[in-house]
Amino acid sequence: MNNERRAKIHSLASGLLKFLSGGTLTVIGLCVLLVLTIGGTVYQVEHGLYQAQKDYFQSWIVLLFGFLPFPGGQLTLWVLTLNLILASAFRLKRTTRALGLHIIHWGLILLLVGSFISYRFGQESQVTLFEGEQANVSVDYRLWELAVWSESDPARMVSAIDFDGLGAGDKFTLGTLPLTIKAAYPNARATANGLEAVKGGNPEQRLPGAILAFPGGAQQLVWAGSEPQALILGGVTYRLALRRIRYPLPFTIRLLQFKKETHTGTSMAKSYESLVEIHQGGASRQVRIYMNHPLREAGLTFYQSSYAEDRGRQSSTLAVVRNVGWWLPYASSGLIFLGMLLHFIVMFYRKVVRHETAD
Amino acid sequence: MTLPSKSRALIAILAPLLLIIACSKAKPRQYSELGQKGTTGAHTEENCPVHANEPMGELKWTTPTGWKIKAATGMRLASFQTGNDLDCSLIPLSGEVGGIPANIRRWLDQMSVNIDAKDLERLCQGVPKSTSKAGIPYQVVDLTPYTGASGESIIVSVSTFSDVMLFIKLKGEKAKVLADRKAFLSLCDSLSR
Repeated sequence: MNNERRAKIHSLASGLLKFLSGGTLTVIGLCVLLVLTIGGTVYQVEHGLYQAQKDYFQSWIVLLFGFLPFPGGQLTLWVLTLNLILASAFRLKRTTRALGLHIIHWGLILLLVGSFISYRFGQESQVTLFEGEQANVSVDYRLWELAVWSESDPARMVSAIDFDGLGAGDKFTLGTLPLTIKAAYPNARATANGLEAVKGGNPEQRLPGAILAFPGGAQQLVWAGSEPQALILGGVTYRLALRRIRYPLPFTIRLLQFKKETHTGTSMAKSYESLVEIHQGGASRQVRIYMNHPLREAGLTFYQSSYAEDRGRQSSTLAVVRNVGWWLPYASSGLIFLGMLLHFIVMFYRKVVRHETAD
Repeated sequence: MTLPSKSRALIAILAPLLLIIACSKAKPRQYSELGQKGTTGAHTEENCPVHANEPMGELKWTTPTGWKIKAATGMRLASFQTGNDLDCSLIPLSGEVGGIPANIRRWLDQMSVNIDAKDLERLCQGVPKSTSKAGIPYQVVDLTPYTGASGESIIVSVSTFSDVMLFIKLKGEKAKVLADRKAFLSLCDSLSR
């Protein structure tokens, strides 16, 4: 009986392993990706790029046509990653002949893992400065945070939490301030009586809002469109803000000068560059940032992104990108190339040897 | 009971994968931030350069003749009932409000008016810059030409300070908005510190 059970489990596991490591699953996965690419492209027309990425490619399940559950991009890519790992571990033979194929598989795995690392740990934000201004944080393009700081704190130590994913009933402490979310709206508008949920709308123009409750029964409304709200609790004046996520920079960046050149006779920008001062650990240095010459510092890359003018004053916007896995696509491409080359050499050698033997 | 070696290998591969992909709930974090001078996240839209001045501070204004002062509730700094029974409000909002183009699009959406990107750019470029008698800068976005004759319309004045954007809104039936336009502009013109 015990042996029968073991045999049954063994047979089930073998069947599952065969399917998970098999080419059938690869083909299914690639077909799903094809559908997602077409669906996501069509979806993007009406909902924008950001929402299409979120709903189709970063999700586990997507509702096609608004009702039909279908594997999302993230689920499909994880399944394909698993498929590649299992294929290399169990399906491909461990022979010299298959060495190239193994390397190609691991190159592809590295490419997928690299994508995940960029998606999960990469950050894209921006810093906008007028000449003479400085910043020690960059601002996310899309994501929101609930931030609290004490007004009397000269260093302005901010405690913050990502707003995405917060819902009614969530309890946590920001700094020394315990709070409960009474209501959270991904998109809201402020009315004379408080907040009102807004349905739909362009995701990139949404302004979230929330109602917070504090010990002792105090309640506070925060809305992304409003200035930081004051709250006095226990003799301390706090400021509460629902705003774009701030990412601390490991240094202070000051815009010294912004230069713009225009094409002769037009107001069209030909080139623009920012002269910035990096201040870190008591030392300062000046750096020019211009097209194709970003500043790379402490794992961050600052690109010249845009500019604005106002009554003779100029502001510069620098895109700030942190991508710890930036080297992975290069490494994976190298691996894939190496694997293909090796496989080609092995196959070529075998063909030549076989040919000579036949002669 | 011991599992077959292949099953063990399968579990050994699946377990770390599941661990990697397991979602982690956001946790509070702390960081030090320079004051308002440090970051200016609002100035991101090139098409409509905005005024960037000092902090708003305490503003004063003169209520137009025939207008009644109402209680300023919620986010409002002040509320008025105009001579034609419309609602006019002064609302200061922090920098994350999308700049003038995004707001124009939002207001037009509220009026059920569609506008393409080129027209929006043209409209933005045509928004005049003014200053009140006391030197407070403002830009008046007049959307009455873009809305239907019988429907609702809106005129908004936008003043961009280093800490907030101040919106003065006059919204309602188009004919009444046009009738109150002059008084509305006099309100904008009366802004002072």
